[in-house]
Amino acid sequence: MNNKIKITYVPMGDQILVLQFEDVLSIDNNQMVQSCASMIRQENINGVSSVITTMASIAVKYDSLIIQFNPLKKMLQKLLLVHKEQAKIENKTITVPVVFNERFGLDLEEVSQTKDISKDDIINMITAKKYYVYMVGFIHGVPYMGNVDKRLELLRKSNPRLKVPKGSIGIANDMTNIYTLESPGGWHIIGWTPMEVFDVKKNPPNLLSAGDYVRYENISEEVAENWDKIKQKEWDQQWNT
Amino acid sequence: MEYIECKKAGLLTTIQDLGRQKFQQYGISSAGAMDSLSLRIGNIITGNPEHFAGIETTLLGPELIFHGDGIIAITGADSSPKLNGESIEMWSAIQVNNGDLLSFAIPNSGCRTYVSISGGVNVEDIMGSKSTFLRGEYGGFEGRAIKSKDFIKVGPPVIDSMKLKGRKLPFHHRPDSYFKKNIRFIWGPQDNRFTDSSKEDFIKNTYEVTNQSDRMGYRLDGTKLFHKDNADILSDYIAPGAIQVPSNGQPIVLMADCQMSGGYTKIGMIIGVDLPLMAQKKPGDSIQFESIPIEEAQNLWAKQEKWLYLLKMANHN
Repeated sequence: MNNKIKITYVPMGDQILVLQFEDVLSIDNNQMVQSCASMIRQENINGVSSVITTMASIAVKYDSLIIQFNPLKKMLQKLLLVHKEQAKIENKTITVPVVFNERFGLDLEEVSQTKDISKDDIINMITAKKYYVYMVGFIHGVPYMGNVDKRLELLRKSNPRLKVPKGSIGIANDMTNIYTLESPGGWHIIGWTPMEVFDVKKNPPNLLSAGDYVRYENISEEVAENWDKIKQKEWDQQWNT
Repeated sequence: MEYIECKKAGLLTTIQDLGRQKFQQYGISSAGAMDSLSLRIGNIITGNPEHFAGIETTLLGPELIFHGDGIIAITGADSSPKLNGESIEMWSAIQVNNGDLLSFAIPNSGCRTYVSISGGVNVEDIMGSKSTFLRGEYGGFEGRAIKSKDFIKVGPPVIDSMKLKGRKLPFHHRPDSYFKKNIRFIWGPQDNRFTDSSKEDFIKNTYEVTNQSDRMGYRLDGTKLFHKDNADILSDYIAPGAIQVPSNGQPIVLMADCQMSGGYTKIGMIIGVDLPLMAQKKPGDSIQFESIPIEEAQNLWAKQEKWLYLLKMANHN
């Protein structure tokens, strides 16, 4: 990472300040977003209530009774002028067990036909890479991860499903995601994970954060169906310690 | 009071507080009261902390039966509330007794009415909030709208009911008198992606609230807005009040249940003090947008919060 960051500071209404980074979707750019966000969080600025990151921007929610737009902007500019080494983000790599077959991967057959790639090759391509979490978003902590093998790139489905089961693994464009709750969706579903990556009763609810990496590990249908807390514990000891 | 029983559901009746603001960084929709100002005032009148949960009604209110005695307040859109068939005053502390029936008519102006109860609605906290999030099916009452035969638990009153009697908001302070005013906004963050003539059109013309409007957002219909190039951006933060414009050129105002990230250009963001007014718009209402500088918006916010603070102090026992 270089020390010079070009950031544009704009208001989003009267209680949110947005820092716009370079308008590109890349791991380098997003890592810059994450490390600047963690610098802002660590600063504990009086009046700032939360710091939210997206693909290439940071939203800083503030209480304008305590600090107004211009002083906050100046404070952030000064803070981010020099990019400190200690702001390096901590990230983890999580291995997620996934069953890839037609029963759980509702679109696996279709993807195989559209792309003229065998299902085994699709599974090999998907499990060969590590995916970077660019953002957790939508309505309930959906991780947006990339980048999927170029040979598997597909536009979103023209006719989105009304209900995609929780735990479904989707691909669209060069991204992959995990459906954290049952919801409508237009991604191509190629597999399913029995692992809980999102639980509304936990704080924080997400297992994955922006800046983390994810690997998919192929498991059998039988293993997936018999998944329980003990199996999850064993899995985490094997892969996620 | 122990419980509130729902006798008739109404159109969309949900439990709401001030939402899951602190969890947006985890990709969580905030949810919460659409007209948060009315809920906050209802809580102040009933002696609750401002963030307590109440009941939000939509156009056609529910019929509710109280199990136990207590103090309630009805705020928001004037939906002619009646207790056992007798009219009761909005924005006022009302004593209710065991077995009393609360009913509503459809409001002439506005869309959402709030029922606050001394002690607040007491349901399980999910991510620090009791708000119902319909799309995620969590929070509030079993993650769904209230329906008949539901028994909603009420918490213990914070302030003795004797001390709450007679509390009311003076007429000239009641926000419902502002429902027909312009909706003010601040340009951006992507207003530079629109043509100059479209930016002019946006503030010169009125936009109508369409039927495709709910707690997630309001789809508007009016003069088409044109982008300089296209409507898409990298998925960016969105929040209630953001006015995003997809490629069809018709604005969508995002509301309490909106997703927290989205990939359309935002021409502007409704200011904090006017978001509750937007929440009171209903299909068929027309909206005149008015742009104001951020400094002015922050002054208006400070004025509102100072007023609420004074209201709290005046009602402090």
